[in-house]
Amino acid sequence: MVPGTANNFRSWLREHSQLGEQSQFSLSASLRAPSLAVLETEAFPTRKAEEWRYTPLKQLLAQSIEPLTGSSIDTDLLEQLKDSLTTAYRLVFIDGQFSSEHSNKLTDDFPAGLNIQLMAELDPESRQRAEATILTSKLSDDNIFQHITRGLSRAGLFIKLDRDIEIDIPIQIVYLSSTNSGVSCSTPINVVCLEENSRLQIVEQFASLKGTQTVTLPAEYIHLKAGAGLVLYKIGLESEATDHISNTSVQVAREASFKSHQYLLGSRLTRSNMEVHFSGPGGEALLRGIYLGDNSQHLDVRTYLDHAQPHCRSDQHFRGIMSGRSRGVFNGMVLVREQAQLTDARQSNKNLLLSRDARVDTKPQLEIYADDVKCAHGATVGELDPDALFYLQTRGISKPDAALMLTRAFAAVITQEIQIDTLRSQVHNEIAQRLNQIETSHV
Amino acid sequence: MNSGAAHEGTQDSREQVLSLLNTIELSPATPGFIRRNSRPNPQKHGSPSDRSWETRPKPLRTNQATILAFELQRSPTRQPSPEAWNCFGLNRVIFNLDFFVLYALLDTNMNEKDQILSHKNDPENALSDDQKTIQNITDQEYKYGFVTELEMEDFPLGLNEDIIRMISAKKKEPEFMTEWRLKAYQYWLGMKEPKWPKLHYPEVDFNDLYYYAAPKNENAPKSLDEVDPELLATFDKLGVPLEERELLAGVAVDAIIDSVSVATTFKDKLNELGIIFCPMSEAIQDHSDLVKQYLGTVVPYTDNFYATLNSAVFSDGSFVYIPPGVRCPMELSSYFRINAAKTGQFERTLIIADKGSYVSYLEGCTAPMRDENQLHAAIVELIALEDAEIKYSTVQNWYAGNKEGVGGIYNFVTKRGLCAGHHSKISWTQVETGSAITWKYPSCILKGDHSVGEFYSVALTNNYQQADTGTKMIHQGKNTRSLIISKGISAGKSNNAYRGLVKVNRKAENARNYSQCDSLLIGDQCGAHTYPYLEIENPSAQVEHEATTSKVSDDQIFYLNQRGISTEDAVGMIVSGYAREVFQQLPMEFAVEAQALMAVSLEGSVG
Repeated sequence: MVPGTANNFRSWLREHSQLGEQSQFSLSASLRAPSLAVLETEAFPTRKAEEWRYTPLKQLLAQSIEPLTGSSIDTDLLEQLKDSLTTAYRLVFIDGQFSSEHSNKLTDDFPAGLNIQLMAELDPESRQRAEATILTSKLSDDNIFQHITRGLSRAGLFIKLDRDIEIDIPIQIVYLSSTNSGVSCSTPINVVCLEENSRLQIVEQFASLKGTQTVTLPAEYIHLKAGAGLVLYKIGLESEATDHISNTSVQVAREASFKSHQYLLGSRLTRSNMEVHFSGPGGEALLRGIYLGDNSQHLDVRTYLDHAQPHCRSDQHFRGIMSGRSRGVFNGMVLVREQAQLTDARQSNKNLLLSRDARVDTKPQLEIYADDVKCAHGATVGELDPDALFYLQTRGISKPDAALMLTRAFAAVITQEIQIDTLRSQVHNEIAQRLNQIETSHV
Repeated sequence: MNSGAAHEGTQDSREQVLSLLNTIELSPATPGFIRRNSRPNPQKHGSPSDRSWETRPKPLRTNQATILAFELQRSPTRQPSPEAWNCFGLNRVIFNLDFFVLYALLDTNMNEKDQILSHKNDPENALSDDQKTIQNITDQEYKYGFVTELEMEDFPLGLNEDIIRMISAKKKEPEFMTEWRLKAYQYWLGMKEPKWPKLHYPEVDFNDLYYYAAPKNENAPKSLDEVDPELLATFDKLGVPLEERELLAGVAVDAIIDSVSVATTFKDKLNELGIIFCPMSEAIQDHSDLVKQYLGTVVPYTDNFYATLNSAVFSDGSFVYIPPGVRCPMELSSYFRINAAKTGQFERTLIIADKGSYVSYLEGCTAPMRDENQLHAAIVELIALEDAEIKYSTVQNWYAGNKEGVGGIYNFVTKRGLCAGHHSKISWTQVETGSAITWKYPSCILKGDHSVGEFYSVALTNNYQQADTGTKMIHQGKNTRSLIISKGISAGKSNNAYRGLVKVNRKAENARNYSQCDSLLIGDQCGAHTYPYLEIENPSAQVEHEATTSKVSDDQIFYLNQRGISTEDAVGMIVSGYAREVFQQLPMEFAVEAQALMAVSLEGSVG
């Protein structure tokens, strides 16, 4: 059933699922059981699976996973992440465990109407709501990693905002890894429910110390009720020894709005799967993202927009910058169902190759069953425009500087859409810093 | 109506038409929109003896005018055969204009033809007689859905090594071919039918198919006289009068009914230039060195499920070799028909353009109406050596099944071209309107430096048709370029998918690709899908892909309506404009045909 290489990871899975009391797990036994059954029967996707065509998992699956230990943390890194938001409700996970020390107090610090609880400690009403959200969520790529998280997660948050409440201060969720012995695995599961006409911003940051080896398998289930609005920032700054496979399922009800910004800057392997399902007419989804890879990083963005209702609008814009021997993958699907008339769906994917050995595979897809729709997608792959480089050189700018300038500008098209000033400059700096490190020797 | 009278009538009308043609301005850009009975009926609009139409001629459509001009100039004194006149009257079409146009002419121009034929005769008799003929031909949902009762020399049902040996022996193939077929068969046994395309169809039972069908003819026909008269009649119905073939201008035809090529024309003329254009089976015997050298080099027998099956059982096809530096003076053309029931058609075409040569090859298809699905798994291999250019055009109108989606051809074709030498070029143009299922990806492997690949496609699906088609451009050499223009049109309850791959290998410096994939939806029950794959491993590449999906907008239709154009014509006009970029790539005759075909295929999809 499972080829030899997958045994290490799988044997860890098997052991780990048996450990511990039910009360420690994020989800109830009845919800975990089907996922655990999947872990027993399903094989890991190979490159023969269409959705995993460009993303090999061999290296990930060959790793032996060590048990999680809440060890010392790097306070510098944490401070740096804290600085990215001047004011925020802060929630910190260290090595997969919630750190009350570094977080705001769950009960006292939050404004009325905002209900944040740990998934393992939910009150019955909230548990019902959270698990109902998970059960009604949809993932077209029902991959095994979602079930690992469902079955094994012991950490995670339930965030619920009551109707008609708008909160300007963002919620910052930090995932820090600092173990430096062996590979650890964390499986956070978050459920976000926004009631009618409420507004919220969430900033998720994944970071780890250099050399820290982790496998991060987050799963997130988001339900936006009519008229609600959520802005979700996901920033991946993990070390290049990290594997990160995330699944995000979003349900967007009537007139609700979902905006997401993804910045995949770190990790050895990232696979980010985000699916938006419109469950009411007039919904909106804006997806933005940058994947910036160097060395042998492998960054894979998958999006799936399910236009099941009329009058919805989706706009995706992803840009990739690949250097070294890195590999970028974009796999975007827009599905417009029969009843989804008057859909407006746009998708754009642009890629910049900075080195000889970098590689990009992109697959922007449209599947359309309704006739009165506006759908367009575009994809490009290329290197920096030699004319533009030359122009800058004639103005006395050295070639490497010119290349850097143009590359930063290429990324800035996306980053400038970040609404939080401090966060924008942090992301911008992070990109600039990484670009500085990148050898642009071929230019 | 006796034939003598008809002759008299036509003789007279020929002059009239000639003079009429002088008054017409021929503009090749005028699109020809064809609709059934769109011409005034003389019975309704005045008597047939009213000759006002002669003095105030209705402008003939370009294609009609062109055909007539061509026809009349070609043989102004020739007496046509009575059978031909019975079938087609004045609108009989020379062969390089294929039967789509023929149909279109019959359909739209029948009244004029009636007038021409009958204005000196008893109008009632002539009309009824003619209309009966017309009725027979046109009153069919699928216009070429007739079945020729040929005696089939059928092999037993099913597939096994013995069948393959039988096929090979029947074709008197050399040993290496038999071995090759068997190797492919062994490999095929270990393969599974691919399930990844976005197509739904019942499983094909490969043991319930005939793998070889040939018109029964103990001795191979040495001349046209020996050809089965039934077969000749079939060609007649298709507008291919065999007895005139060698006289036909411009096109050499390797006509195929089911699996055996029955007639090859213009061989002599081509022979002078050293061009080889013959049935595959003949090439295997006469040019086995070339076949051995090139067969399977572009599509190896291990390639895919259907290609492997084809390699094992292929029956016939066309073989073309253009010697170095030769520019083929005519469009080479092959007509494919699927004829016997339950006969899988496994054609294999191999075109080799040697250094600095050029060839344009046309492929056009019809098939008779069948209720049972027929499988067609062909292979086309193109090889362009240094500085050579191959242009391959297809108009495909196989039976698409009826309005309920019953029947129709399964078209699972592997087409691939190899730009082997530097500065070589391969260009695919396809107009796909037929088949219940179309599944093909004409591809270019750009191996030579500076080589160019092009792909122009119009795929139209209606009713329950399914199409999963596109191209692959594999850039291997330096400074290679490719262009993809794909226009999908979905109507009825059909599904139309573009699936294409652009791959730039590590060593392919300065590769350039531009892809444009547009989809047009007509009606709200069809689907249009785009699955482009871009795999880029070289930073110097510039690859762009664009796709849009739209519908025929109410505004556009309203605008044309208020200019007095019916909605159905308006849609035809808009679609024709939409697909124009591709039609422009077709040789002139095909372009005319393709436009007519589009309009016919869209009939009934609006309103």
